[in-house]
Amino acid sequence: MSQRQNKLARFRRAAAPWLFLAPSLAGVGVFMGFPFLDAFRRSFQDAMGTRFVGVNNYQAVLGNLAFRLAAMNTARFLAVCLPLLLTLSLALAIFLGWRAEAFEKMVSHKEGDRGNIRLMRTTMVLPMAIPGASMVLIWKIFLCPEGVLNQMLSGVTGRVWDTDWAFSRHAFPVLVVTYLWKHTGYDMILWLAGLSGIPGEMYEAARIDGAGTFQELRYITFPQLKGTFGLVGILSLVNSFRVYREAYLLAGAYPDSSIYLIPHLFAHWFLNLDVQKMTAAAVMMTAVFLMPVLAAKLIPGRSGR
Amino acid sequence: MKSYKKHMAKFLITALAAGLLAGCGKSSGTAGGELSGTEGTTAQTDIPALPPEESGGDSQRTGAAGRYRETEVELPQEVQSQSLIRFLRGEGGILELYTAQRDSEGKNTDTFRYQYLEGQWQPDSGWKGNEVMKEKGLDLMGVFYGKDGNYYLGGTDEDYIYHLLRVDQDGSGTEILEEAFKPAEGQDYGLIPPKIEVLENGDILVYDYWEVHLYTASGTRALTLAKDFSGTTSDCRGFVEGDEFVTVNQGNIVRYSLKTGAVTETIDYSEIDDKRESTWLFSDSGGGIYAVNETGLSHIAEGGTLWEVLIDGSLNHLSMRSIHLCEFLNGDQEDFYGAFTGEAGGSIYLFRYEYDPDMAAVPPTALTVYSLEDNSTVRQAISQFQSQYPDVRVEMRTAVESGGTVTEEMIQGLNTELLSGKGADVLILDGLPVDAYIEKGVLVDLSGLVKEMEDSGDMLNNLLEGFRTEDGAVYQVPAKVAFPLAEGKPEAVEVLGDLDSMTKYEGEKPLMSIDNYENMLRKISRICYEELFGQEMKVKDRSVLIHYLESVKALGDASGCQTFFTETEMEINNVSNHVVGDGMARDVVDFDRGTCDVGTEKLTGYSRLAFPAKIREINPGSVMVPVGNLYLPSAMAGVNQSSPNQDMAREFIRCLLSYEVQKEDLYDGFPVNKKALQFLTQSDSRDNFSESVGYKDGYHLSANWPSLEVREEAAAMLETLTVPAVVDETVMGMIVEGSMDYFDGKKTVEQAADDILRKLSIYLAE
Repeated sequence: MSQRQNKLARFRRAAAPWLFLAPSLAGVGVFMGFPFLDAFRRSFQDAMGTRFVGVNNYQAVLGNLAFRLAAMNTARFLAVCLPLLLTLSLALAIFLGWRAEAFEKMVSHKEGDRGNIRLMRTTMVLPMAIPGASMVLIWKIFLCPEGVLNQMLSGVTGRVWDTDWAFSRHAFPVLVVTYLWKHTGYDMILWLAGLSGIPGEMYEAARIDGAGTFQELRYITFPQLKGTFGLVGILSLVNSFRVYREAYLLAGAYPDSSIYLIPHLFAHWFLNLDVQKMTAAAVMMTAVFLMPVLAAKLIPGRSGR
Repeated sequence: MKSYKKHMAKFLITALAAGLLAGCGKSSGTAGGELSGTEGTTAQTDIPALPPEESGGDSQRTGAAGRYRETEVELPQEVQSQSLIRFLRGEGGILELYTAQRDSEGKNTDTFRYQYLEGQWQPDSGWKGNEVMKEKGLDLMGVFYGKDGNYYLGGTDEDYIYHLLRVDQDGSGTEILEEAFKPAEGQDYGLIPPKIEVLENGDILVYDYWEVHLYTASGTRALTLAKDFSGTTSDCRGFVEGDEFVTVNQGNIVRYSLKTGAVTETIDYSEIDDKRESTWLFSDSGGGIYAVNETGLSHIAEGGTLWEVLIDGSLNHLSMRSIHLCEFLNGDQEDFYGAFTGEAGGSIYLFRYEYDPDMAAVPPTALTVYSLEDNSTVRQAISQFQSQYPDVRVEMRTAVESGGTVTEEMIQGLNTELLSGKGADVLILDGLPVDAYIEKGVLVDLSGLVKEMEDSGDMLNNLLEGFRTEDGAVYQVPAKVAFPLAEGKPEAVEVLGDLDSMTKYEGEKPLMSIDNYENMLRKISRICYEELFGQEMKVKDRSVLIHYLESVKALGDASGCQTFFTETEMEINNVSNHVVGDGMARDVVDFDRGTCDVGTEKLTGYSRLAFPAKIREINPGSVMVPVGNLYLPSAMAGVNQSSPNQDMAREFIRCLLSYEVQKEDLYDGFPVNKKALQFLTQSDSRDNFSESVGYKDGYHLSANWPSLEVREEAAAMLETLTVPAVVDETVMGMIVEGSMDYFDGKKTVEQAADDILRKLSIYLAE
């Protein structure tokens, strides 16, 4: 084989992955990359994109009280919801996985018990299948002043409850609960997929060595789920930004200040043609979310492992 | 083979890339673009006020040409004070116009016939119809020229019984079908037919509301044919052609055989139906059918299934809102005539539609008007503008259909267009974020146009000046205005506009009438606009907001207001839970009923002045004044800075504010054009107007058209108003939402105010 042919073969080997990636990269580039670059450009211009204004837009956004509140609320929501969601869904997955394993080992193979597990899994995933608007309607029926929750509380406590849960200071926990209700089942399925990938021999070997349930969890299950954790974490983070739809449908364009989120602000800025603020805020938010990822990649000794 | 495939693949990739790149290229559109099919049309350059490039481009282009041109046919001067009875083709094919002079009760005092001879309308002094009807004591309602060559006159007697007369050769009248119009046993009224047609053999087709009856010349009923209901005084949806009768039944055009009564053909006309029960059908004398309505004139050939649009109604007076089509006839030179009337049958207009082979088939220039909701005055201006400039097509885009709800997504959709440098040429700014548009430079400064119009002396300058910004620019102008009118005891009326004085008022009755709290909040936001809102949004101050809420509560408690009324409460108190945008639910009547010391009315025209004028008349000592100097603007127009047709858009706004458009009372406000206001003030065309209201407790009020003196008084008020009261609906929504628990006693005023301010502060900080 001549040198030229060798070079050509190397080039083909190097180019092959890029050729396969090309359609996807083109899509991302056209629909996300270029728009983001345009947004970056517009963040240094006035609203109609006719004048360069330097970093004025960034200063305006950082000094904007509504932005600070929305950013704070969004961060608080993420800080509360993400750990809760990940923990709860993992706990349910482990519980269901354990129950399933236990039943598998039972001699009787009771069909009714297997059916119960399937029913529970389906029940947990069902909220994902309900359209957002319908889900909010259900929550409204549950949470309005004359709703089911107040009637239950009135029945239990003996005094009249007429709290408007979605429009009062309780709005934040209400939003957290609705978010958890909707997404726990989905995350649980992801965890279950991760759990099913752990070889059973590992648990068998550990049990022979005398490990108990907690040791199995600590030394086998959790380390083996690291990869799944990354996937579930990112998907949950992305989904948490979509909670705006529920917040908007539940409490309107100007909800209680505790659930006023970044998307609320963006929607209002767009209504008022404040596109310069939107682009500046979008660039800053992207930077904030990219920083931990880049930091993780750049820390010496950890990249590539 | 392999090489061939490679080359083929390379060729296809190149072709695909070239196609994609060509598709991404800029199209070479014309000014006013977005007008498909207009390229290459013959341009008309008879738009004097507009530069050539905006009036259709260069005149060298050639292409599809030929369109019906609309021209107004001049009518005799005296006809302008008369009302239309019929416009028809009479003996010898001559066009005839029948009119009536009516008294204040709407009865004919005299009727006239005009004939169109040698291109001019001439009164027919030899016409005996007026005398014939007077002799018989009948009020002429219709004139019909039968296919048997005779004229027929129809009218009602004093008992409102219809009589049909055949005009004999000597001019006398012979009553026919006497029995057909007599009341049936046990009924007070007989049939008043919306239309009569007489066949060649003398048979008579009498239109009823749900059916038509065919009578023989001897008066025997031969057939009854079903048709769709028509409640109008002249049923336009039917005609006789030979032995066939064409009408509308069950939503389709049907052809009946008058020999057998059987349906011989059914034709779908849903694609041209404007759903207003006003599609005129007439014969093309060759078995085909013409249909004309607001959308235009269409034709279907005998046995055909496709409707051909001959005249686009949106380009002429057919779509004008202030006039109604009364008759549409075939001309004798491939032309058509349409007779229209204004309000209450007055103001007769006659237009001729003549085919012009040299006129561009489609107007080469387009102007787009965007509005969140439909607006009659804007529609009126569009028709007027297109009549003035036949080579401009004005397209109105509305975000919602009638009765729909405007959503944020609709405004965001418009914003997307504006941000990309597109969007409509003219923006009707009602409900849009105007302040943001001004701040971002979306709107064109119209100060030059406004100054020009103000200097002409034709405008009510006080109403336009309220929109001048600090730097002298004018970005929006209102086409119509309303204003809040207060009526009541002088001492009560005096306290309006000041919250402290209003709450401290001690009269025999509560100051304001009973209503739901949301209306009360909204009403007081307008009455005390300068104290609560104004330019600085004073209500954002906690103490002002608390004062506002406490005052509404105090006034509401005194009147018996509630956040929600049950059915029983609504019945007892004659109130409702219905919310009115500005809160003014015609409560001047409550003042007359004695339930409060002052009432308010949002005056949107002289028709809304009838009750206040009557109430002042029957309550000596009461006064009627505008609240503060406030007015409520509507149909706010602005020009898009990105529009390539800015001069044309300015011209459209000039048309919107012109006398011709503003002089029409479309029930959406007073004009801002001084001359138009004077015309409406002096006009007696609505003298027969009356309205009444009654309650279960026996209260009853009826009022007629306000007198000239009262109208002049209101016009004078309009000239003193200087403050446009435009309440931010988002803020109002927050106040309403946050205060209901306070009015219900579930929260303290401080808690309610803090809840509102939490949201308000976010809104203002954004």
